[in-house]
Amino acid sequence: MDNIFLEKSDNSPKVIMDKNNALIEFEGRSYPENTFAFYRPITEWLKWYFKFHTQPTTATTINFKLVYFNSATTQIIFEILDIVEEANNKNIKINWFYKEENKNGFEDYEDYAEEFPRLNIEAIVV
Amino acid sequence: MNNDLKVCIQIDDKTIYEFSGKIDEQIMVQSANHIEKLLINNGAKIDKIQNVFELFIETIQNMLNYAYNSMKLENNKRKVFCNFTLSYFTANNLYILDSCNFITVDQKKVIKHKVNSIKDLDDASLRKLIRQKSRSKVDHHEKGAGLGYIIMTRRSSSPIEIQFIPYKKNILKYKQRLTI
Repeated sequence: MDNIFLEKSDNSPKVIMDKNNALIEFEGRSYPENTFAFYRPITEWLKWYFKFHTQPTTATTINFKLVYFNSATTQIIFEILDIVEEANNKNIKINWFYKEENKNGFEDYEDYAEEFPRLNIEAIVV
Repeated sequence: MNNDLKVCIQIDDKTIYEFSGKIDEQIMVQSANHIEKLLINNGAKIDKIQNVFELFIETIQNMLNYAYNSMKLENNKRKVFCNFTLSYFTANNLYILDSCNFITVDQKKVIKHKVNSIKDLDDASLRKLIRQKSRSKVDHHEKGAGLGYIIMTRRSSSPIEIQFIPYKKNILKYKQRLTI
């Protein structure tokens, strides 16, 4: 599958799915009207990537840099982390970025980190 | 901006944003951005801005997805007639998001059940429920896992207030108040 690069819009995030650099990144606002349709190619790409592309020696970085997101995106993030967890690849670094004064951002991190303890999701204050 | 849009910039326990008309994704985004600017200018903290912003989006997307008179457009997008107001109460630093749209009688049962089943849960229980629903795949459908009302309850300062007013046969006016 080809890499996916999507520019951010007012209500959808910038998306990087770069197999060459082992970088997956979501940045910006995420509340597209058809959220599941927006993310479907992304979750399909992730399943392909972890099944066929990753090498044990290559570390994959996944960055979540989301500011506002809707409930459907909340669910999609769980789905993405489910895919990553099922891949059972030890060489993955997941970063959750949030603003220090943003209590919600940290609580979202806590929820994902507690739900997926094996993924060692890291909180990064920006 | 849509001609139906009315914006009032008074902030003294009065309406700060008001809309009545047909709303689609583009107008929703414009309104959300406008509301964000109003709150920033009003000195709101980041969590408050995020809560108001996200609950506004959740409310409008609920309407687009489920309102009785929601119209299907190209690319699976939708447009719906609705109205909403956002008010600010200086005494307790609370924003009130009132909204109104049309639903069917059957939807009333679903909404009442969803709101009543979570209204007494504390924050920890709501967070747990979000995680459970997201991962269990129970109640999942093409529009989601039914997280909307849980997140709205979680981000609100008071329980969601709902009201159903008969409009015509099998159709009700659904009024919702979120205190944020």
